Amino acid sequence: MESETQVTGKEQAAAEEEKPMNIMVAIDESDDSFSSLRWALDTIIKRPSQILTVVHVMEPMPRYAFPGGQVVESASKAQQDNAAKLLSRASEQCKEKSVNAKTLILEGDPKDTICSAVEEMNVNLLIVGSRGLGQIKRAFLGSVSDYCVHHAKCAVLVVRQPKRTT
Amino acid sequence: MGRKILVAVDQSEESVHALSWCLKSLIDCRDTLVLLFAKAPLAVYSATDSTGLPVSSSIIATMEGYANEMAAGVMKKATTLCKKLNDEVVVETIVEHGDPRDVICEVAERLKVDFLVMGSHGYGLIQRAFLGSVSNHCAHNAKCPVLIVKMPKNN
Repeated sequence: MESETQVTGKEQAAAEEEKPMNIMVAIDESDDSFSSLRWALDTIIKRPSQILTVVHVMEPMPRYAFPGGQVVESASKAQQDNAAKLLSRASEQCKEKSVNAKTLILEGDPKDTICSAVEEMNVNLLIVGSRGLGQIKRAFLGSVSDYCVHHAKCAVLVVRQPKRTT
Repeated sequence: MGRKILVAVDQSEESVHALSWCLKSLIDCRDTLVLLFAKAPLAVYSATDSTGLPVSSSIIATMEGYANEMAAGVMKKATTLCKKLNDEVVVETIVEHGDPRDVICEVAERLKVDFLVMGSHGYGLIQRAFLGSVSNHCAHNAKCPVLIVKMPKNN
């Protein structure tokens, strides 16, 4: 009678490697976002079991509220075009690194929207830049990234790269 | 082309969870894991204890001994976990003295690690705090990418 082969630690690790991992990278118009995406593609995205989604959240500009009327808040056509361009640029970056990424455009307050998306889409790892649109030079954490670090229900990776001193 | 990853460890369950999550989800066998335990300096500054008698050096030595034992214990548990989950990855250990907030950021910069991993809470697991003070500090101030791993809440 054949004895059952023991599952070694390495085989176990290999079996677990096959488990899909949902990774979400949030981007905005800033250069910081795109360099964070580049860093993630170089350093984090290494296994075929990792499923990458690049997300951009459009924050609709509030329209005027007419007396007695409703405030219509939805993203303008210009914003939608801009979002599509951003994600197309992100997509190109992913393709350059031979990574197959999905893209997603969402609408709303970025910090809440990203955290909700993490929950709804069962994201295992959220990757954000550190600065976003604020151009303050000192090392600090932008408000959306800070919110996500505190509130997202998954692991959060804040990408910050050491500045090269010239 | 392996990565060098710094993992901050302490006695908390969160830190063990962060290390094992990292090993299972991110690390591959070409990486080097550096486990860092920051030993906060002993807060024994008064020359006398509550009875008015001088604090003897043997008490201080005992406390130091206890702190060292704890550091060794945490490291042993962490390295055993690494071996169990991925026996090919290279593991280095560092024990440093000082405030964890500063020690972690400083070591990450000194070693030029690819990124830093920590749990979301350490010693003080205050239920209402979303993020412990050390993790919060490092997320803001480390000069390298920081990965904060959270333990799923059992609600």
